[in-house]
Amino acid sequence: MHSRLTTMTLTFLLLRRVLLAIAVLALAGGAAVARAQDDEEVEDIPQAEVQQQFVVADENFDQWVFGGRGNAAAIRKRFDSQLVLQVEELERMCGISEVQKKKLHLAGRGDIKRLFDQVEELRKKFQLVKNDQNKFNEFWQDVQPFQVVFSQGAFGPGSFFDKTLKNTLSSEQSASFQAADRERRAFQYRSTVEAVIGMLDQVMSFRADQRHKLVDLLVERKKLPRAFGQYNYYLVLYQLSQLQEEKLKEFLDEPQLKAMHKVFNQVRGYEPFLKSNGYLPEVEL
Amino acid sequence: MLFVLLLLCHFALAQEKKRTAENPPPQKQDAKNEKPAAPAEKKLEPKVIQRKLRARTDLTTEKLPLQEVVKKLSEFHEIPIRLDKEALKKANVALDAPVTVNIQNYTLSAALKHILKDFGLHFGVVDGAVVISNMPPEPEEQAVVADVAVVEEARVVQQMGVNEAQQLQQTPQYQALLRAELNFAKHACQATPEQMQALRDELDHANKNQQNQNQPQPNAGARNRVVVRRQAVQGQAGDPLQLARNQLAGAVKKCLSAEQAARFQEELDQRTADGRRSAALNLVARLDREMILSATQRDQITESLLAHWNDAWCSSLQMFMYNDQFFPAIPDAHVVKFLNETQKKIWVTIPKNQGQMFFNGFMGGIFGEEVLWNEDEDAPVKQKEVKTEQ
Repeated sequence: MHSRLTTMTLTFLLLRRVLLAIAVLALAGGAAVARAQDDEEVEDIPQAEVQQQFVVADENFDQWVFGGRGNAAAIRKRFDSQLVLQVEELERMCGISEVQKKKLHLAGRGDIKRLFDQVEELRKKFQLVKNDQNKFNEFWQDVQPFQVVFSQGAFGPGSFFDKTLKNTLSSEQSASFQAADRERRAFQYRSTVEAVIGMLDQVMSFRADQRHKLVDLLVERKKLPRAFGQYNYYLVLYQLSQLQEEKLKEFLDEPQLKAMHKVFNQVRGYEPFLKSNGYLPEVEL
Repeated sequence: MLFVLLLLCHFALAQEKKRTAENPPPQKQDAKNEKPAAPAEKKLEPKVIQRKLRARTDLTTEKLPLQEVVKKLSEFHEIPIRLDKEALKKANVALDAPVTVNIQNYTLSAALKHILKDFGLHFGVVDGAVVISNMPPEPEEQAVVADVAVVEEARVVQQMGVNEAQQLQQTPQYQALLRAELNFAKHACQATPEQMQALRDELDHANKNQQNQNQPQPNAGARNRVVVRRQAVQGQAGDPLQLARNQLAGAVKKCLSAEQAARFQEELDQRTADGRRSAALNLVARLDREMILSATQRDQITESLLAHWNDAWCSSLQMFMYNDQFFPAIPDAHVVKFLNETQKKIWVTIPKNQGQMFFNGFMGGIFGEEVLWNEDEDAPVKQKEVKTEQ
């Protein structure tokens, strides 16, 4: 049962992206379809010609890779500004020296360059496959890691910036940085938890005290996702399914518990997906 | 799939807008010596008037005289619109009564209604022109205006991607939502079993009335669809959750004591407050990811958003889950004053979404059509008992 649910879940999550792609493809082909409908006479089109109609417009590339955040130039500019903000924040929190600032700027710029070099490599690959339906599927597999990176930011775990940060800060600076980082992550996490409980409320019809207790139960666990990104909401749902039944029984009604079990049965299947995307295992706050 | 449909519709609308902006309506090419008739003097065929009343309109005015506003609309849409001066006198509305509006992507018909309603004025089609007066249009004219309204709403629905099939699919989900809401009322109001039965009876009664009202009548099919769809567009009663909650709120007022109804209302108010807080926190979390806010900035912006909260900023929490770039068109004044110079540069690059999405099912339907709530603690037992007695 679980494996079926896992497959369904994964299919849903991945299909969401693929459907988006299809939507854009459909739009790209919309003009041709409309023209065909307007024409009264429909000619038989040879099979070879039909196969050649698989054409993906160039502008779709940015949409897929950057996910509606803008084009490469705009995002690069935004990353540049974010790097400045990151270093300013460190300066405020830890009082870093000029040498440390330079090292961090250099590392951050390295991350941005490396990322956009990789995007350009991918763009070249796209040019080769955009008219070939079979090869396009392979290309699509390569797009997904970029979507994760652009969703989670350029200076996350594994980046040059992150490594330089760990090697550059003194233990005292590091402690200050980590305290502020924890606070930020706790805020991000709480906002996600409140949104998930709010969404759940739409089918469970919680009372205010029940909503607040559920939020507190999750937040008090102090277990955060390893990475923050667009699938945080799924992670919180998964975490909810891991709560002890006894604790829920203390404040939820029997019918609510039964309905919650239906949700839990499904979201437990998210685990492999969340692991493979870096959200699990959780980290202690 | 609904998400994709909405996306398609949103994109298509954006493209249409773009095309319109790039290709403004052609100016009339009249003969050189022939003075073109002023729009207000022209006469148009009823079909042409209908078409023009459906055209899209953006209009922003700040205390502009009413007759100037009418002239603007008339010239822009090349349609004769006349003010019935005598009727305006009777209604005590001056020709230069100030009009302040900000409307985007309305049809001309909707724009006129919006502008005129504050003055208690109406418009109708008379002798090939749109005439503004203090009298509602004659039945025949009203049909023309109503037809236009029907098409308007259908267009909006098309943009929202809500179709008949989805409306039908909502039925079991709706029943499940209603069961959950009944449970909510039971505990929030500490209702007795008799009161719960009264609530169920009242809801059944309301549903039957609703069904009767929705029975197709001659020449009214399109209008019925529009009623349902208009509700969906507004995210109000067409949204099964909102419909269930509204119906229950009505039933609670009728069937429970004033004290219980007050407790119920308190819970609803808290639910609204929690929803807004949750949306505000998620918006600030998005800004934080983009702009590396300080803890103080996070608090300040959250407080500012909540103090000036507008429900249109976030019609549904699912927006956050399904669109990790979602950020509504929040006025700069509520955010920018808390940002530093580098953050301000990022703020202007964040795309601000104007569109609304309509989500079907829990978390946008990730559980498909599964009905999550089958339990109604009392009702099934009581029904069985009645059957046994019979």
